[in-house]
Amino acid sequence: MPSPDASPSVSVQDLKKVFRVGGQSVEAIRGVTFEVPRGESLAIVGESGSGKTTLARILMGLERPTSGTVKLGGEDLPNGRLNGRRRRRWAERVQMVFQDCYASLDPRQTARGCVAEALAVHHKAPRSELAPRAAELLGRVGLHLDALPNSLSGGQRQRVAIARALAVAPDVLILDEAVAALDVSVQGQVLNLLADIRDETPDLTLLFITHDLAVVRQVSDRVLVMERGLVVESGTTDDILDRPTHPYTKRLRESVPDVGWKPTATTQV
Amino acid sequence: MTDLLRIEGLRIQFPGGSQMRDVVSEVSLAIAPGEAVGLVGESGSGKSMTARAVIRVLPPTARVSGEITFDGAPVLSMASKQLRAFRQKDVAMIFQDPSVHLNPIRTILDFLAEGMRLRGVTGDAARSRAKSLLSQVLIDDPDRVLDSYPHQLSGGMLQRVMIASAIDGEPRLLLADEPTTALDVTTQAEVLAIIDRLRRERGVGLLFITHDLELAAAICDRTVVMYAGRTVEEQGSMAVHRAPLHPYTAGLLVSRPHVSQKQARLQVLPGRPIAAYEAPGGCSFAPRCAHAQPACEAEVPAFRALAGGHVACRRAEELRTAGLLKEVTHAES
Repeated sequence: MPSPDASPSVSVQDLKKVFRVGGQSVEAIRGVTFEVPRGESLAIVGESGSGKTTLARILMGLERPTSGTVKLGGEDLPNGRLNGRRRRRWAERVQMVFQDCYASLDPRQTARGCVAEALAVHHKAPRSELAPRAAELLGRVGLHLDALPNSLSGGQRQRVAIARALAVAPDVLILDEAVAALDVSVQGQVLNLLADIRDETPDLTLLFITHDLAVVRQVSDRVLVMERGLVVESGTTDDILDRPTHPYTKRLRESVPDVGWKPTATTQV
Repeated sequence: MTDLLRIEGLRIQFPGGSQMRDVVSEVSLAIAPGEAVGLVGESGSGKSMTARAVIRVLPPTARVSGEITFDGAPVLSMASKQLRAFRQKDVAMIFQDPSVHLNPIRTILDFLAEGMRLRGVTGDAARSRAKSLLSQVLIDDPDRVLDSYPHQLSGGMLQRVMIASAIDGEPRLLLADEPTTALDVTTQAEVLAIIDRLRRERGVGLLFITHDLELAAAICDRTVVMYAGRTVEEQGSMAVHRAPLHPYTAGLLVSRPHVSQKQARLQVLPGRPIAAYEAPGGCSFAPRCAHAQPACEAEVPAFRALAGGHVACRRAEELRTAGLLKEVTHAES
């Protein structure tokens, strides 16, 4: 059932995640609350260990939260293990594109086969239309050829991963450092593609997990800054990047190399 | 003044299928004593291979031609004894991922002391030397770090240890291959500052390899841009940003997002970066260049002097005069 438009696309309440590592408890997420309206692009920034990828994995249903609630379009993340029909149902709401497009595509499946599989699993097209629909989706991301991943470049593979995610027509698309590994000239192409997709699909909500504040400026409406499992600051992209208030956000902003920038060092324990 | 490092017409080939394939076709650059030079390029441009050729750590199947001289001495023809002395005393290299260069079952002290042992420095002397090295890379509790194993330290800390090890032999040339790419941005700033300070204080020549033109500008006097195994532009780092000479550099500058201003769409280069062996005849960049003419595909453009730098583009003057290579500044966009 499509949810009413009034409910936020993503709603996270007091989310916590504790991992048990070698008999010790590690709090990866220590109480995170936020909402994302339908069609908004939210950047989640923070350094390694801040909990941003764990948060994404919980939203995807790949990790169970220790406590707290997650809702997508008003529907609660089901309790217990997500498998079979429940996993498929959740995956229809949220899709993810990962940083490492070499690991996230099946090396034996062509680009078209990969997208067709997503269409078939989620019953998005009748059998006879799988191939043409897959080609159409790949065309939408600017890929007009069919090949195995090992003969595609990094940028082309990431386009396949985006086409596969869009095939499901999700409410939410999570991009976890999805352009971080791409060459500068190719990264720009993928960022433009995402801007085109937002224009064509105004209801699609984007969660952009990244450490790159230049990418944040380019793709996001709002920003959530995470540090050690907590949200330390959030606001519009312009506020966070031009008028950061939290010391950590300020330090992050000052560390971005730009023309005329000079690095500064402190001693560190 | 003699150049500290001089690379002239460097070509590196690897066997691929039935013939030899270029990974570096023609690279020329020079570093003066104490000078920092950024070597910027996308993946496959040959920048890492160039640095590896300088200390001769290329895979054994590589065929290398051209000339590399260090302080006037030809590196490519050094005999093994001479080469060992060169690597021990004159040059050091740091890499993107320090953890693969550290033995996980040995402590940091063990790692740092290994090079010292070759010079006869052992025991307490080695420990105090190692402590002093760590404080030079701004580690303020060197004793704890010395007794740690690599897995107990963060990536930024390990990269500081690698830098400490690199300066132990008091080299005159430091090769840094994307040393901060794997680090968080705040840690990156700190590690860069350490490299910058060391090279200024000690007058070490620096070859800083990166894919990021801003990083090169932040710590390098000059920037050399590579494309498909060739040097295509060389200029003062600030000049590269204000007035690039090559259409590729100009294209890179406008295609990346800026932290200070959002653009409706980025002005991207079409296609993807290519490796040297995929390059067509003529100018390798021509297939992606908005200003290419049939003549550009006819022959490889020479790397020639222009406006205080060097460029390999036959239309460079013309495009500069027409204002077609100017970066769109944030205010204008």
